[in-house]
Amino acid sequence: MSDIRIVPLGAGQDVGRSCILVSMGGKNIMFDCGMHMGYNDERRFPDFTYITDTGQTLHDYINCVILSHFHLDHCGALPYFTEMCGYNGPIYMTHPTKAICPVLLEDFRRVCVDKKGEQNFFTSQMIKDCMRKVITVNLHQCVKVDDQLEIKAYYAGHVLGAAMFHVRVGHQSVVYTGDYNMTPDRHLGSAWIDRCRPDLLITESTYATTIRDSKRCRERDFLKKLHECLERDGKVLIPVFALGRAQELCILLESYWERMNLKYPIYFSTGLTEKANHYYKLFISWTNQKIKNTFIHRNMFDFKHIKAFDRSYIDQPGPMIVFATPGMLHAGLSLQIFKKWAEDEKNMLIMPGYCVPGTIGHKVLSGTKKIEIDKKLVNIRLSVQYMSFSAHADAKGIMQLIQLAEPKNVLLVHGEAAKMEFLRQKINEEFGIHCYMPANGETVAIATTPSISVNMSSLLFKRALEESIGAPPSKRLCSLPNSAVVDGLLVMKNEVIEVSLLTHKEVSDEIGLTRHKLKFSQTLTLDGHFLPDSNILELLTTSINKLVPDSKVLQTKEGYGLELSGTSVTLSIAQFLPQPLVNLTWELQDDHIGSILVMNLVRTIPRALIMT
Amino acid sequence: MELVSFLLYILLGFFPKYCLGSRPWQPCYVIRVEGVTIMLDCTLDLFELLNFFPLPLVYSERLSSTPFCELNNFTSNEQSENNIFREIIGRILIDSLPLVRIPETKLVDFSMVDVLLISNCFSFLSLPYLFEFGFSGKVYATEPTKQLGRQLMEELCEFLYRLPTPSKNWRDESILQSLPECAVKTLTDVNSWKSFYKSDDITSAISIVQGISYGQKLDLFGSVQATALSSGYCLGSCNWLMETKYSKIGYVSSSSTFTTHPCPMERQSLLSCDALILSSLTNAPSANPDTMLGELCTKMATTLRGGGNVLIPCYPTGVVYDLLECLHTFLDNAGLVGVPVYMISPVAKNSLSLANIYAEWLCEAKQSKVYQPEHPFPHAEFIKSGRLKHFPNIYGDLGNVYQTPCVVFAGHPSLRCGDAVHFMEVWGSSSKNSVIFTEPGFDYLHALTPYQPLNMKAFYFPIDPCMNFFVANKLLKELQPQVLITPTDYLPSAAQTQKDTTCLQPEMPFYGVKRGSVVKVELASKYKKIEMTSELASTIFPQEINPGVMATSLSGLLTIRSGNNKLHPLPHPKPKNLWGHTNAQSLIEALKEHGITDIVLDKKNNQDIVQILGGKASVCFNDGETIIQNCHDEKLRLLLKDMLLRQLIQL
Repeated sequence: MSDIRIVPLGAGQDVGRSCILVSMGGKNIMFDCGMHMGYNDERRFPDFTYITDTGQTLHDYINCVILSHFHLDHCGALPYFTEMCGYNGPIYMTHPTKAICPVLLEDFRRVCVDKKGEQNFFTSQMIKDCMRKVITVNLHQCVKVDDQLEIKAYYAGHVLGAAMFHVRVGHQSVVYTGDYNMTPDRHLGSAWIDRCRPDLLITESTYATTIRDSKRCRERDFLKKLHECLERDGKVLIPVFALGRAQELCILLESYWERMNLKYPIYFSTGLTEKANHYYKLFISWTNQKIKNTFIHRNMFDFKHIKAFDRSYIDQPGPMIVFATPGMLHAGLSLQIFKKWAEDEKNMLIMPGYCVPGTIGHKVLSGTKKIEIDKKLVNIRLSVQYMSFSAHADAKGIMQLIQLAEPKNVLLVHGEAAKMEFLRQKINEEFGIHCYMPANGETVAIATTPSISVNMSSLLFKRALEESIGAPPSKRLCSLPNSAVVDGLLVMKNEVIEVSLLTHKEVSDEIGLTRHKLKFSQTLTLDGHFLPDSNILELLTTSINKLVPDSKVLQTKEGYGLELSGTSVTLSIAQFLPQPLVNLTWELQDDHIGSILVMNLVRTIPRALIMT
Repeated sequence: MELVSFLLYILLGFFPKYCLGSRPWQPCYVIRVEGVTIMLDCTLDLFELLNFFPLPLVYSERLSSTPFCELNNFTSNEQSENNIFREIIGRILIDSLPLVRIPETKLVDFSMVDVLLISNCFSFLSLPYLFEFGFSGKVYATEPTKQLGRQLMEELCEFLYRLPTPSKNWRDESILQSLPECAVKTLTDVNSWKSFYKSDDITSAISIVQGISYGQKLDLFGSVQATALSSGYCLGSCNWLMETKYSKIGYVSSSSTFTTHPCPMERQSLLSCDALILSSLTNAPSANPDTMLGELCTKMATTLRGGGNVLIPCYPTGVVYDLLECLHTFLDNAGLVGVPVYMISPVAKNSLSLANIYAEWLCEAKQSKVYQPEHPFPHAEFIKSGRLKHFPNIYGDLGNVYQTPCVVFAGHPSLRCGDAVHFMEVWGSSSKNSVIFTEPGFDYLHALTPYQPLNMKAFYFPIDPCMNFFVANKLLKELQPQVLITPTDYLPSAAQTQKDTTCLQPEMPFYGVKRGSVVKVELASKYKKIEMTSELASTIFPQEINPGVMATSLSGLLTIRSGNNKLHPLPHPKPKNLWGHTNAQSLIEALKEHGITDIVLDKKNNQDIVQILGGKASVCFNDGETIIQNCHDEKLRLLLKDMLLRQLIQL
């Protein structure tokens, strides 16, 4: 029970189809439910048979699904999971994610089904039905999934509405970062988390080995290359996803065009543009402080220089910039434009984000010069620039987050194995904590030492409190400051949820159980006659000390009696003459002493002193 | 360590010292719990505005010719120097820069206040004043409360200072004494009245407010956890739950069970509080908001059809969003499609824009609009289509588009400052026009005083979505707090016939509070939360004693630190104890089974004694203990012990 177990069903030593299962305190949580853009086969979705093979249904097994943000590699499998695999438990995400996620899902569905004619894909209705089941969370709001499971979202900065989630079950807790960004960008703030000290931090590690140069330099570089290309009459293609990076680049270009008074046309592939920007306007409270402060007077997402793209512009002469979806050149308009422009060396392709292996974007970035697209070989002559605009934390950022949250363990997902290995060592060296990087399907178990919450009786607490402050030091059972020895009965009702520590009196009231003592009483006759002045108590003490080493024998206050300190054993002289009678009593817990004394005390009283 | 931890002190720092007309309850409480001093709200009393003469935006012949009041004991020469008080229909209004009243400052040392928790945008307008009294605590409010409260502050600041208004020395004792008695009666404690703060004060005050979410658990010095819960009153409004390790205190203020634009009121978390502070019920208990809205629309339609204009004096946020929403549907249905609607306020644009970016704070129907994506409030579309126009004031662009008849929303509801003053001046003389009051915070007849004689029609349709007594009584039944703390005014007076629609009828112990009350409430809770270390937990093995009930004895070392009490293992755990009852008959049977039959059972004074003959032993059965006596056969003794233990539970 005290282990936290983690299995990545996706994004284990990989980027794509993020899906991480975490089990703790008897609860199973699924973080993200993404799809892999690099595959068209069953590897596209996480392998849910891992769960169904246990013989349980998905919702019996999983207590909740938490989605970090709207990128398809994090949410793309959700309609499949809920509508086709049949999960109907709770799903949590932020408001912007809930708003934007179905747009991207629908867009992707259209590319796959309508264009590529794929079968067995989720339908538009399924997306709608799925989104209806989503429960939204606000930043920092503590949401109780059930009595024991609590989740809390933190700002992640990666895209609009991206969140990191802190999940707590009893005293165990896990933070899942999703994708995040530790440096503020043009429209989003930076990720932040408080010192929540989770048992485990599951972090993305896309840029595990990169320390990016300053943001400003990268932007200047980007604009310079862009500008040069346009000046030499080239066309610039920027494949993007409709929401996220696109808006940031638009803000960047908009202000540069304004400042430089440029006239080159900038186009944005139609459909999503206006709608996408509208989402940003409605969720302005999720953007960075500067945009929030100025939105009333000038909304940054009302672009003046950026116009809608028409397919006929593809073959138009003259320089232009086109933002086109999708971002990894795997389908759709961006691929279509790429095909047309790729063979002209004047042109330029700017890839502003990560491309998963298997996509054309990935092939182009890795320097492939001849690529087969739609069964046609295309020679890549245009210049290819990879601009690392993807708002992921770099190695420095990941280390910063670890510093902020102070986790006891770290687990890396959403990255490449070789890079993870480097970061893992770094984390291990710098923080001295365990760092794991399981592959898909590989389980990691993390032992935790949870403390258990107990309802302590106020009466008992008050007694302890009084003892810790009130009692004179000599009387105190415990010498440490602000502490007290507590002795009570622990009662658990209904499994372990209700643990209460009660006084003995309360136990009898609450559950009808009363204290009972089992006592022993034995009258020992000391043979023979003692001298009137012989000290029987002293003789007894000597004998007891021999029989029970380590015992501390004290005379009782009333006289004519002895007690063994720290035990229930007492001896009292019932009669001196004619034969001394000693009454020996003890309670069950001291039965071993009682037994020894009963059998041996009389025998060991020094005979020499007994007159016969 | 202080034992105060079990006590909750409530010091109340606000009105109503005297009740004049519909003077509202203005909350400001200070509570001390677990050594943390928490201020709950710090409203600003704007009621005194009514004692002042309106601030016109443009020169008004009528207003400036209102006669000055003749002061007793002053020569006519001195009179003219002291032209301060104007008299209209027997009321005396001060023609000087209006002043406001802040909470009681002498009762509590504000520098000792650790935290200020704010309920809604209307309830912290005194914040900028707190600093001059040494306040340096933390301030928490929901993000919309913070932003909209700022708009309210800025609007009033602009209203009062946009034109220079001389601040006259009317508080001079000799001058006040020369006033007619009826006027002095309302001018109490005038030296504590304050001039309104300036823009810079607002900026610095707002900058220390930390914006939070509903359900966000705030840790206050490790001993109190405060959580904002939706109160259903206005955008971002909340109630507060304060939990210590030992107890639960609720603060419910300005809450609504009506379905309007905000998130519905969250009640579940407020169940069975150890103490519940209930404050700010509706200021218009007899008016049903829906009925009032209906009436408002009817009168508006009548006025517009008659070619008249409608002025609705209002605040720039709150109910106005609902009014704007209903209004357009209503105008359409009433065939008044072309009638322009103007909202005039220095913060109109801000307020209208802000309302549409806080979807997560709105009711579900509004929330779901952003998924379309559409604006949660339709006023964004009305603005786009030109049906609703907003202007910062009457001076600028309004003149270019101004058409009558029209509907104008403008501040301030007191009609003493703001653009509403201008419309009262311009429209007051015609009986075609109407002014419709919806804010119950001000006595509307008194508000109209400086505009008398008035030909314009005046209607009072107060729309206050806060709970009335009937709903509050139902809520108390549902929440079942151990103790209720509420303004004395809400509680039944001896003379009053007790009806649950006119006062609270708590079934639990309660305390009535007035301005300046100090209440001490003992918070007795049965349990304290402690934590048991896993080392200790691993040493215990609970046994099932009843079905579903497990128990074990537990001894440990409790370390007590503020907010974190931990139970550690002892080096030598205490011995187990025996529980249950023994029974002589069962012992006898067990012995017989063992072949020992020579037994006698004695009964003496309700005490059973089992004698094993041959003088071998006796077993005494007392209440709570069993004694094995004088057993000289060790084997037999162990047998007896074993048999008795089988009747008991060892924990």
